[in-house]
Amino acid sequence: VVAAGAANGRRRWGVLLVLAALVAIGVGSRGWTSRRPPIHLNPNMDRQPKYLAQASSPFFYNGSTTQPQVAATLARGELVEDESVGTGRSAWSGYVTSIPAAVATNSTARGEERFDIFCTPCHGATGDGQGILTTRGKIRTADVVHDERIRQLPAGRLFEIIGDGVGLMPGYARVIPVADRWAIVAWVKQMQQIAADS
Amino acid sequence: MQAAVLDLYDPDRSRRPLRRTTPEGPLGDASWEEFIEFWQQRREAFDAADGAGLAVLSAGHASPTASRLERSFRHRFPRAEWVYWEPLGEDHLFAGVRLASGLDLRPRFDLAAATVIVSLESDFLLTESDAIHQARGFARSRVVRGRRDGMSRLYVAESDLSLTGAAADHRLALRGRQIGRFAALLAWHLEQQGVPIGIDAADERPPSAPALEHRAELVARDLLAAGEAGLVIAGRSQPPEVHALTLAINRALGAVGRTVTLRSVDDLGYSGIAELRGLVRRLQAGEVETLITLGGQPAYSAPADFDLPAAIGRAGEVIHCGTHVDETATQADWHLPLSHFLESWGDARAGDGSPAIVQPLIAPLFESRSAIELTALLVRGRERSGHTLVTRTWLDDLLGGSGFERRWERALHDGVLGDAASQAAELEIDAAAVAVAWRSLVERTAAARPGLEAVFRPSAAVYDGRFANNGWLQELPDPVTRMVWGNAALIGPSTAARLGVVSGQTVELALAGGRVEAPIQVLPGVADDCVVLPVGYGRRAAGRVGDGIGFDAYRLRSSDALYHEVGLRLMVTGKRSQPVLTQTHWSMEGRDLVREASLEEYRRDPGFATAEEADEEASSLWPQPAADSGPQWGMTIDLNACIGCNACVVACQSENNIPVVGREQVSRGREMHWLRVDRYFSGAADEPAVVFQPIPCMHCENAPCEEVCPVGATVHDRQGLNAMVYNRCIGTRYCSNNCPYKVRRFNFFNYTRETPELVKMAMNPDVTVRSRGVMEKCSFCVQRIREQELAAKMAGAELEDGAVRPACQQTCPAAAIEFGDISAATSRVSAAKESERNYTLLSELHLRPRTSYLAGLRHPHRDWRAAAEADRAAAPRRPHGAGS
Repeated sequence: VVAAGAANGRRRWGVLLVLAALVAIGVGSRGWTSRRPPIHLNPNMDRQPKYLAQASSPFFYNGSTTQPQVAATLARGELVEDESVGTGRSAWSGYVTSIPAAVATNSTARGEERFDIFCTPCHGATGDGQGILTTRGKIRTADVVHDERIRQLPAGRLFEIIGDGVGLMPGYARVIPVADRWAIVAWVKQMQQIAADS
Repeated sequence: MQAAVLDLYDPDRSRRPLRRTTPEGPLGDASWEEFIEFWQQRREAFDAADGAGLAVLSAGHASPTASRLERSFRHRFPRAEWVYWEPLGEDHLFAGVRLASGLDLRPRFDLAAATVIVSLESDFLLTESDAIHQARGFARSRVVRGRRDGMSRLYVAESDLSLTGAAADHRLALRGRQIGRFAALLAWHLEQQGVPIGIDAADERPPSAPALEHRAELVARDLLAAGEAGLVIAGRSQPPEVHALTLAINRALGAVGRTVTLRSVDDLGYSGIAELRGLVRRLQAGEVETLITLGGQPAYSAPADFDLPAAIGRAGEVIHCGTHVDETATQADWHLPLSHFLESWGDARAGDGSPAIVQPLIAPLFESRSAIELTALLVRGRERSGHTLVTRTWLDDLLGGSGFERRWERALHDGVLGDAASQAAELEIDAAAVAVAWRSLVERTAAARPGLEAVFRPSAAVYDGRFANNGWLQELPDPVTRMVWGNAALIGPSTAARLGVVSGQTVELALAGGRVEAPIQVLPGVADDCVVLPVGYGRRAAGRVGDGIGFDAYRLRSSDALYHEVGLRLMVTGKRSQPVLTQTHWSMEGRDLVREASLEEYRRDPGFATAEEADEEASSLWPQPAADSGPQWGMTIDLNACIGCNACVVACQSENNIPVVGREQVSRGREMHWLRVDRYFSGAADEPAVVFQPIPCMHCENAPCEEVCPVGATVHDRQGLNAMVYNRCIGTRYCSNNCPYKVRRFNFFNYTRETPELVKMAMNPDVTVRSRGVMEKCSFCVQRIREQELAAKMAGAELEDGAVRPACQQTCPAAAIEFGDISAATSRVSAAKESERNYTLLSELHLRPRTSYLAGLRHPHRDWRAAAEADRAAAPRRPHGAGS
């Protein structure tokens, strides 16, 4: 009986030891990263052999399924024939001072929305240059509403800056379509006007 | 064309330059820098020798930039040779036009304006050049909206059964020489009826055996009645004399300038068989020091009597530029990878001569160069980018003058310089030359040549073999035979009976010193004593998909008879090799699946298609869509327009990530195509009428598949789509069993499990890639519907009619498919469904399918039957096998 009890006790200890080891492995592995996918009992077409946007690719040099548009190509619908609309300049008089009629609208709602999406991280929601990048990252960004130098810029130059960038600011031509860039210009001009009036 | 994307992402494409360092050794890795250094040395030597000993063997092209670079190559190396080789070239066409007019012109056909079309073995709907334009024009010439509309009439004389022959109102199955004789007879009858063709044979008629006399006279009469809306087209297989005669007939009818225009051949990279013969002689004589092959598969596709591989072996060194390490590369000292056209800059001339720019859609995947970049490298010894080369051509030759940048951008955006089509040329017919051509045709076709005739024709899927490594195309059924993964020697039923062969037997074919083993497939409609041999198969180094599929008919082809050759010997081997067909049933068994009438019958009874149907308005147990549930999607397929070309099938496969299952699976009936084209024969076995019927999912309103699914994996949505929820499907296959149209497909295996990284890129991201055990079927391209709905919502507009275009509709060259909202009275699909010819398949089942068909129409000549009878009565009885 004693021998049996001792055997029982040893077995209980053994079980406890295994459990403790499992817990240690389980807890200890937390936070470890692995490039391999987790075990997937029912695949259910969750991962499919196709390329989705913004996914990783072992094939391309940039490691992404998203590839840049080939230089100098032009897609359908991308052609802007009016030079002042496409570049912000006209051939004989430099930068255009007002938004070209072809893209001008009565509403600035679209421009406000685009500004909120693309510009606020640096320039702030009111355009005063106090975006999150400035306040936390201590990166100097322009106050597009009050800065007199910027207020004096013609609309065409603002359009060009949004597209090509200036200083630390990158160009957004590939991200924001032409009409939306003009909409942002219109919104900035309106904010400047309101600031000047008040 | 729809399958090109799979060629771009072909994992077997060569990825870097290769070089053979020891004569017998393998090709080893090399780099472009090494090649450029190598070439710079060679180039200096050739510069000193004016290019003597240098030869280029290029695939054909129609590119302004490639032509400009070829000129500068010739300028730099005046004694070098530059030869083109296209296995399915148009030597005879150009020779014929030159014979008749003395000019180098190419005819372009406007079939939409034609009322009577005569094809002399021209498969102008599928395999001849400019086929898409011609198919669209042909469909337009046959649009019938009401009983007052007319439609064109098509006569076809041919040896094999092509798509054009299948579309014909009257078809003559003739041996190669008889087609020439038919052309001569036609010209003679036209001349007799007062059409001034210029043949001086007033009282001397060409001998006519077998009897075609009455039918030729009838066709001549019909052409004459059509006048300038008449049109005769000769195929590339016909001798130059037939082309010359054709041009003279069209001219005399007044069709030139109306249904056919002749345009100058600008920037065409092309040379005939004579130039290739010259190059082969020089190669054999050891006069070629450096041979450069630029694209194509010359060692595979050259005529067998040239024995090009042996000739290439005698060249000092061989530089092979190609997309794959193919048959030609096995002999090369250098292999340079060529870019696919979707990843390189280029330009081209359209069928009407308009120059077009080809933009890359993606940067080159591998270290490859395009053909124009390579040519520039050969000439200059340095690399230029394709973009620089193309803009240079356009600046110098096409958009010269001021404001180049803006005009370039416009052309780049539009893709084509629309206002720069080449001018229709003035034409002077040399009547004396035509008369000589006619006489020589009469004489040459008078002598009887007994024996079996081999008829070489392009494959409808892999063309001349260039697409052999494309799984989509290998699994695309031949439109007429419905054969996949291979080719077979096609033979008519009566000839097969006479020779004692049946489908599935393997025979040995011997011709012109070549021998191949091929399976037999009996096909109604092939001319007597003819064996049709589709080329493009039997590749030896195409890649892992295309190697060893089918037999190589090029091994029997000799340079002096590229399309028809008498003297084929056929020996039964005792082996069997069953070709794999996706449709083995050839008759409709008296059912009215494809409904068809003659134009006359239609005019008498416009509602013929639904005449025998019971009134449909039976009540239904199932809920009907509510009136306010949005657009109700539906489709019509016009069987009068459909030519059965299968373009929709490939488009569907490409759009919907349909897997390729392979020969063995198809032989078990497990092909996965969501859209299939059924083909049926009717009439006599030797003179069959052929009809086609594309069958997608019908999206029945009372869908029988939905009622039997135990897990609700296939359900109806509010817009009338019969949707498939892949994740719910447990693979019972009850739905497929209950589908009367048999359009549901089941993934018996995990066909997509080992998809190569490159092929993943070819998959449509908007469509699920299905796994094993899942049922699938046509979804009406639901991803496109959703995309357009979202676009309309973002733009704050209503979804426009015609905004949603399924892949099949978008691709159809004949515009046979309409798709849209059937609840909107003004939509085009509603208008099509209003047609009297509209009918639904198996309507007695009361499934209310959303896809319906417009019955087909034919336009037979009312005197044809009598003429055929008269010919038959006049025909001398001849012993079998005598041929003619």
